Amino acid sequence: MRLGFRYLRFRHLLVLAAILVLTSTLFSVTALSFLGFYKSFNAYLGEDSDIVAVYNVQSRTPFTGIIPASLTSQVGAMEGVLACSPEVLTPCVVGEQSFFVRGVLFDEFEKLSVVRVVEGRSLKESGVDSMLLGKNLAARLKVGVGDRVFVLGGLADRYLELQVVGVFFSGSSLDDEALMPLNVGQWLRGTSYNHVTLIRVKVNPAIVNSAVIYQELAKNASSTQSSPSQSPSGQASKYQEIVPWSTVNYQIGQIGVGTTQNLMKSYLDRYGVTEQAILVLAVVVFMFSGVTVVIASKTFVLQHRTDFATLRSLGASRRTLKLDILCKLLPLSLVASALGMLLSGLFLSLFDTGRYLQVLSHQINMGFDPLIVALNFILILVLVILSISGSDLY
Amino acid sequence: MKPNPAEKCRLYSIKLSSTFLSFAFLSIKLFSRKKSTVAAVLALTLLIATLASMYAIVNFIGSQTSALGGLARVGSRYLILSKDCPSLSGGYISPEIASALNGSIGLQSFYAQKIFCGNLQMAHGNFTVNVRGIENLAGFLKAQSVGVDGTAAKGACEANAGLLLSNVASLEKNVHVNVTVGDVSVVVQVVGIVRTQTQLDSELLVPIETANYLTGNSNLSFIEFTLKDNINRQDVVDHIERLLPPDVKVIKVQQTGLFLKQTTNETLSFLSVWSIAVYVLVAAASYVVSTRLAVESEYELAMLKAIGANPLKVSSVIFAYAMLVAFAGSVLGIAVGIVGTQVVSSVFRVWQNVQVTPFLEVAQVGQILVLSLAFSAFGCVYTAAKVARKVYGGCL
Repeated sequence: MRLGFRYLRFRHLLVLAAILVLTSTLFSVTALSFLGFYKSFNAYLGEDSDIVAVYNVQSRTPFTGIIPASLTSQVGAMEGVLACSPEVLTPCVVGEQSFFVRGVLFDEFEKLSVVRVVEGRSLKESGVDSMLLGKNLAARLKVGVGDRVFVLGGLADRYLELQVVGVFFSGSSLDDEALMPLNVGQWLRGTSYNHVTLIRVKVNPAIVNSAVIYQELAKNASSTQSSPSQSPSGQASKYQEIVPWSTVNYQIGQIGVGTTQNLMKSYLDRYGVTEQAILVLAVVVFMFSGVTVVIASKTFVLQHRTDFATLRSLGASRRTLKLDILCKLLPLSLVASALGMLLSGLFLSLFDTGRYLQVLSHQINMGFDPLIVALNFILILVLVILSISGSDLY
Repeated sequence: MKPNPAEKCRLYSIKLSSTFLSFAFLSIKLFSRKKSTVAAVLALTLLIATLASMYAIVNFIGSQTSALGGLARVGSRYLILSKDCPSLSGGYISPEIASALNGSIGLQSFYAQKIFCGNLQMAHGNFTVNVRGIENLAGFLKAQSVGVDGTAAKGACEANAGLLLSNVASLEKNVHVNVTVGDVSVVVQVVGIVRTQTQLDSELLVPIETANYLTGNSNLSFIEFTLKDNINRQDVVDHIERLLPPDVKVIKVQQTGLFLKQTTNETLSFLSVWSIAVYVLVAAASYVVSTRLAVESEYELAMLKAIGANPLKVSSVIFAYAMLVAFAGSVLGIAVGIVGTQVVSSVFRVWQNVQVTPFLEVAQVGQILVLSLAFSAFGCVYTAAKVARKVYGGCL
């Protein structure tokens, strides 16, 4: 039964709504930012299921392992492999700014990652002392096309001078990185020309998958001798004319093959960071801040105690009153929840543009997540229902 | 005798503290037995616990990052270069600096270098290349354990080509090439192909005398030096820095430390942004707590006014109560946050074999306390002022 007249004071309703908005904001900020980091990290090497990575299973981070570059030739020669991109990832420093660079064979790289050169030219038509900057990185370093940049190694005792030949946009975390020829990446990483950090492979899933690639590498692991590499394909062969890599021995136990997303996930899983764990954390934060909502609800009831007493004396039961309050509060809670999410979006974008939301020199890409929206609505509703139904209406 | 400003300030702060304490004492006597006090402290405790636990985890991540950085082999290579120039080739170092520093105590190697762009004229075409002039080129190549196919260039008419340059330009050992810079050109013989796994592999290396002849001056682009082992490196670098003119600086080549520091700072700034949302909620909680107190304690407040308490005193009692609750909540919250993360990390250790040891620094404890008190004060000021203005009619 609903009481068809207004007896809840607007100002008190507004205060309760404000507390709900703030609680919803805290939950959304926590969930969106932490999940944003998680998703950005997982998508770091590509999200497509047809992209497979060959990597070093013993490395503690995705950036520090090394594998033989000659595996590119072996994998590239397999049926069903559409592109094979050996890559060297390493941190470096320009001025006071640190960022990640990727040494790549650009022809192969752009078959796996969509990069649009928005200024200058691509690495294809450039020399060995050139680099291509991601849009965000170019803005951060305040350098443009044609500038010469002095780069210091983050992991190795190396320095070099490179020319910025272009700026690219990818819409992914690549926008915070610099692309450079594979050999330049190897210089900065301090590895020989025979090693790379990982090899990304675009496959035709109907013909080949990560298990088949692993078996092929396992087959060759025992028979491998140090010798010039077998004939590679595509740009790798052109590159080999300039920097020939030798086939080096490897233990198959050191090599891992898996989809790029699974590879990145596996690094976070080692430290117990999973999507579920982040959601649980956000819900715990919500529950902790929910105590404030409970107190606010009790205060709200206290502020209307004379009204409730009057209504009770006129014959309204406790149940009727509670149902009526809930009927009046629930739409308000939904609006507050939506406002909280909107506010958290504004809050995060404000700090995102100020470059406060970065992890490992990469901006966090926060996106709309229906799960967070649904959880937010449900949690707010449950909290309001529990706190009102648990109140003593005097 | 008139007290000096410092003494005046001290007396004023003592007076202020004693006034606050008397109000705090009064508010404890009046309101501490109210049931809502426990809930109020709990609300703030949980909010601050969230914050403290996040800081503790981030500190652990920071310590792990530093530990990982410590595992990296740190090189001993340094560069002396112009302060205002963003590139190596555009730098300008006077050759006198090199003469003054060469032979300084603690130096293992010391190589003055000059980088510039040159044109390589060969029988099958022209190439634009980076030319690097190095003082004592043979010694430099030997010190770097470089693989040389041939010999190191010694005379002014000799040069070494990097492996990549040699492959790109089909430059073979023992051929003669014409190097031109502007109007000046010189014919040099490529006496060796070098493989260094560095940028030198894409360059033409010549003795510094040849570089000076080609550029028409003896200025240097930069100086590269390494330090001996078993010495205090910072002392030597400080000594060299003192000898340099103001427009020249020394930098360490391997910047692992800066990279790790920035990584940790990024995480901390991420946490700071997140903590803003928590502190805003702390202010809101403080508002709710003080409002509830004002509603619940109308009788006590009316009595205070009736026996002559002025509005300032009444609002001070509310303010003192809110601050006491905030202080208790903050202290408990910090404790719960640390203990909570320790418990969760112990569970992780047993369950997933993940070693996590969260901790909180003293400065961070202070920061959390101060900020939570400040936001709480902000949150309760409006209610305190409102209560002071309110006229209590029918309560008594």
